Amino acid sequence: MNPYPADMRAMRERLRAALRRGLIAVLDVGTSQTVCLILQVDAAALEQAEAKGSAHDAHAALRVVGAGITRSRGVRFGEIADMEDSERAIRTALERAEKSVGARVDQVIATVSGARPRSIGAFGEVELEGEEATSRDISRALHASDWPDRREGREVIHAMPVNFTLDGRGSTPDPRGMAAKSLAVDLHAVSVDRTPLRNLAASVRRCDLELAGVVVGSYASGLSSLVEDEQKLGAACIDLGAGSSDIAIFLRGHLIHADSVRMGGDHLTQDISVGLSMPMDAAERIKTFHGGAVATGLDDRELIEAPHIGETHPADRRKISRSALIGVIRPRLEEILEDVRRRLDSAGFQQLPGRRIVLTGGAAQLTGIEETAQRILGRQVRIGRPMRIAGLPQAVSGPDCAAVVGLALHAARPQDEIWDFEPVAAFASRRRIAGAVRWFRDNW
Amino acid sequence: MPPLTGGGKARKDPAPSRLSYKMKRLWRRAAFRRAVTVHGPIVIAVASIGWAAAQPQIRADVVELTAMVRSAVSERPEFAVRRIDVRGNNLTPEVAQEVRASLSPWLGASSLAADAAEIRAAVGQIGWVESAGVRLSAPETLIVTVRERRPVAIWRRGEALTLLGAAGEHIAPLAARAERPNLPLIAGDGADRAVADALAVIAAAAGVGPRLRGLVRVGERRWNAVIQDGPLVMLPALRAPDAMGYLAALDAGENVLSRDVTHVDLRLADRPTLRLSAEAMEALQAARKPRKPGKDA
Repeated sequence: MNPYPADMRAMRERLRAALRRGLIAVLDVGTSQTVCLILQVDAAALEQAEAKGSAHDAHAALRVVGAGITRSRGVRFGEIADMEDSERAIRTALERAEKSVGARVDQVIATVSGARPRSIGAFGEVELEGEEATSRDISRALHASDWPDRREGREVIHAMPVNFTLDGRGSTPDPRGMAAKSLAVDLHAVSVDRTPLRNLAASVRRCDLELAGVVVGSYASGLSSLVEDEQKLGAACIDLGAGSSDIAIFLRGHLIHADSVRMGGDHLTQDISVGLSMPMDAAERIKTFHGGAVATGLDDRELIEAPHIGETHPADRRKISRSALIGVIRPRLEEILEDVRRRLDSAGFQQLPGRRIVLTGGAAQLTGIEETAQRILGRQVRIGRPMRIAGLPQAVSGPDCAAVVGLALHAARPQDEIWDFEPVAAFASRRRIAGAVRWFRDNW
Repeated sequence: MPPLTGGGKARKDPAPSRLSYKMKRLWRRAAFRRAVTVHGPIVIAVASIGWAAAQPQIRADVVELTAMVRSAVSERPEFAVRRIDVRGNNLTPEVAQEVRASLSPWLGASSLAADAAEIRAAVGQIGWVESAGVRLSAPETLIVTVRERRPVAIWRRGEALTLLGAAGEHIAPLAARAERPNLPLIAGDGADRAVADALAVIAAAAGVGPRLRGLVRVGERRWNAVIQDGPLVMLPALRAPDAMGYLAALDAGENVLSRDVTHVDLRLADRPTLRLSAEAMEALQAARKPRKPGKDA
């Protein structure tokens, strides 16, 4: 019933080992840029924070000691399309980050963006063995639920318990020690396409790195862009990336829905390039410097240099008005946001108590996107910048790096997943030996 | 005019090659770096030194070279000893002269090569020297502090006279007894080894006074005291000073040393014996012969 628990559990073990050793890398292979951060972890402080259960303290135990950003190669729609190129990008980013640290990092946590994430809800219920609920009961309840994605070519990368119910009374964050007769658990699983996931794992492996976890990109962005209250009351984080726009909905501090629209900032560039017949790099440049979502009267008079394709002489440079540019950008942007709204609606976002929407990702830096999004998605829209963590360089603190910062936060305080709960096994001694063997393999 | 923007060659990918990436990461592995920068050089150095030491030719060359370098340094004129300063309390000028002469090999030699123990040994060869201290006062003075030995007795062997120290050390030959009239004279084989004994006997002979010419060691065991114009006093091996005191008392009371006696034998403490001269014996026997009343008359 648990399709790849060994993989997931092994990755968790590697993450724990890396945290104990104090150095771990996080890697976001995006469509436009590949970002790698190297985090120094104060293991003692992290342990204290764990004991106190304080997310803030856990984040304070982190320090970014190295950062490497490079242009992505061979990535389309957030998925790896050319292994050779993407591997080169990962090498570049990691090499830069490692160079600034001067130390070698072997474990890396990566995001999976694109790859058509799908949310699966599951429910499991068991009678308690004793008077009070124990972690053994939780484990049994989790494994009693039916959560795998049974479609061909899918792989589950998250399976988080989001809610515990004791005798029909819900919203218990931690049921251990509470008296009840039965324990039910709501599980939220996220599955992605297997091929992009495998490709990502292969790219990382080809760079001599060990994968210590995979996280859905939108979840990582949400972790860094949503403030704690938003995560509690219900909010959606929309990561407007270059190749895909990823949606993550949070409620009561948990991810409850993940989705992705396979359109993003690159499509705006493409439209500019095609619509105004410009070279791609010029289109990207114009979009970044002059692009916008809302045209005003002043924009008619503002002229922008816009070279034609094949035009080489500077004297021949054509000029277009800014409103013409916005006229090309806007329909596509609206299309993306409409698609996002459709997905939010089908996920039942309108029924949540809080309906805040936070836009992040590279395309969220477009001028006027907030107004457009408010018009299409609803009133409560803001642009989110990732949370600050110690030592974060300026270049990595913009909305376009929300996912990688979220990964860092995830590394310090990973959400419990089903594979963190030991399955209730009959052969306890054999498991212990296997654990010892695994410890040796991980640490030596 | 060439194009200013665009149209040029595609930018070079800054990605490190897979080989350089792997090498750099290998280099960042702490154990590997330590092995290359610390352990490797140590192993190579030890191995090469060991190999070189195993080659006799190389070892000989190294020894020769070392010696050459050492001599080249130590034989520089800056390190030569230019002055030898002999010091000492109440030092006799002749002794100082002799010490200086014995140190002549070090004069002008390198002070780096000077060995204090060697110099002390050389100076100690001189009988007059009881002990010597050596130190080098930079840059070119060698200071030798000498403690002179005081002679306590003269030892006569045939015609040769030797000055003896308190422990019987042979200090120097003496040309004539008259040079040291105040020192007691001893003679006989092994007398030099019993100087302290002799001095004790002479001290006890104060009563005999200037008439004591000297002591003669007999059989390396006991003393004979020679008295000017008097008998030969044979002293015992043990408690000789007591016997000498007894003799002084005898002389004071009975004037025994001025009588016609050739030997005073004190070797047996409870039986002092006198040997008379032949004339005295005759006279005594004559005096003792009972006069036959009718024969003489």
